[in-house]
Amino acid sequence: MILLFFLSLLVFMFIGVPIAISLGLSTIIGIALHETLNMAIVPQRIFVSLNSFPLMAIPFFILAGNLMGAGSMSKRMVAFASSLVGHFTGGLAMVAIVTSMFFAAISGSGAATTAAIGSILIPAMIAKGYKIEYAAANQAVAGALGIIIPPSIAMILYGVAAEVSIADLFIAGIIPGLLITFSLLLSAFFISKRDGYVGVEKSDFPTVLRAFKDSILALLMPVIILGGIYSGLFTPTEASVVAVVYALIVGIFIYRDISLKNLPKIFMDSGESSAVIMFVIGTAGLFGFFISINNIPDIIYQSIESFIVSKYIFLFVVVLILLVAGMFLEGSAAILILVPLLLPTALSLGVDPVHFGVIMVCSLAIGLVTPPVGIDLFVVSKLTNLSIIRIARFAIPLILILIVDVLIITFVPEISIWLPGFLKD
Amino acid sequence: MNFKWGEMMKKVTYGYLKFTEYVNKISIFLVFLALAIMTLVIFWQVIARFLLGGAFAWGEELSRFLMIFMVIVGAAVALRTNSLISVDILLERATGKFKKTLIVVIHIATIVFCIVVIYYGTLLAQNFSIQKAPSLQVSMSYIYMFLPLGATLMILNSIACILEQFYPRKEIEE
Repeated sequence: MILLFFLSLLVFMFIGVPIAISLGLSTIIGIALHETLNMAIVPQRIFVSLNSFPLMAIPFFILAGNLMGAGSMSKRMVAFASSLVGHFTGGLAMVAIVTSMFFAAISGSGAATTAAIGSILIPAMIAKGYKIEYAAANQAVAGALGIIIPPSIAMILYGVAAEVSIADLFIAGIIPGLLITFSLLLSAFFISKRDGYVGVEKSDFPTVLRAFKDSILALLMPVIILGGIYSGLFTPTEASVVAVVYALIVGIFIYRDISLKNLPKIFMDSGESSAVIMFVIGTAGLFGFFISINNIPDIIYQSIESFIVSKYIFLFVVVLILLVAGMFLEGSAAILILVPLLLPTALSLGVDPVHFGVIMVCSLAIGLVTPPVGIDLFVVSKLTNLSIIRIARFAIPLILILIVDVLIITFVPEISIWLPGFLKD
Repeated sequence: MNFKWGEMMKKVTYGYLKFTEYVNKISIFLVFLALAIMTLVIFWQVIARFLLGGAFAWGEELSRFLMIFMVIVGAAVALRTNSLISVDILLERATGKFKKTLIVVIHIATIVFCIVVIYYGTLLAQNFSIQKAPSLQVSMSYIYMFLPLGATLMILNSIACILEQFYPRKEIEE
């Protein structure tokens, strides 16, 4: 029965049935073959999984990100980052990384980050003599910061699926996010040194100051969101709605670059993108319920118990599974499917659930830039008209760096769990 | 004889596609409204919590219900535009008749799922007819009916996607 259940899921997903529907249908097959379960749990579990207040942060963060992308906030942040680090060797590549990090601290998704920053910086990099493939690969990888740096939709999903505090996850993501940003900056420096990409002209102090003044309202946004959550002033959901209202006020009244006419379109697009992600949450909740009621995690645990002698070997295997899953599955779907399968084993081996969440999110972030299914790759391929494979080839060294980062984050739990613990004391 | 049958199906398909287009326009407008009201209500809750020291429970409840509505109706619209998350490695490489068959199979699978949701979802809604939402005091059966409603919209769109395979848009409009 269980075999048929998993087999049908794989077949449905492989032939291209939307993942949300594949999860629902294979669970329906599972229930039909089950002796006691009633089909009524299908609508009931979908409803219960969606009926959650913490989840509401997802549509709001998506909306906030889209509002920022529609206005001039991303342009202002690029100008400021450029005045700061633009003059170093590989300056614009670094600007792309730093601005992506800032943008990631407002938006929760990799694709939004890549699109918003890439559309400005890839043309600028090409004009400055960067190889187009490198500019594209660099932006795709920098966009992966979108789901690592909090707030992150992937972390919200993990928090809800694993019943872990979303605020703790957000705090835990800071140092890993900085580590990855820093390693990407180093790589940009060495690649640019090798290929002779020089920086832009150094900005004098008044220019830096002016760029700072122009972008201060955009830069304040992560401070309000993350500061609000970390200080306990807001819950993540409240912070997300504050971000929306802040972006609306700045865009409509202060920068005046979002017209009221465009608002319904932005809301509709954000609503639809949220629905796409959250529909998976509904049926994945049903799927997860079926998995746990059939003690499938126990079965998995017992069957691997003899091979997995330590939790580190288990975590290493998990990272491998996530890297492969990330190649084919969209990150949020992968989290929702894999958390009910893997988390119970992780917990019984004594892995910290917050640390496990950071491992999952960072590993799946790599999936954003690995073919055949890498959303960041799709975005930069659309921006540059290059084929995904050509960009991916240039992204390989950067992906290797990300993998090393993930392994460090996996085997040194303190990188993730030190800060939440420190802030609590 | 056969020819006329084809002509008629073309006309029916054309009318049907127009109809679903109209329904989807209304749906996405409702998605916009739901998200806009959610934003207003939850922002107001935050303000109320700071000014009055407490928020009203109905605000959270209302927005949760609106969110469920937004997700299920928005997903139905996304089904029509093929933007639901899926693994499309096979579909991307498929061509011709095989691709057509694949698309039809995908949508038949979707319809089967939706029928289960509609049937058992309606039963579930009936079972909850006496229960009221704690703060809004509306019958929970209305809220539970969101799922069958969304599933109905999905079937509508899946049928449109299937019909489109046999009577492509361009051909119809000629």
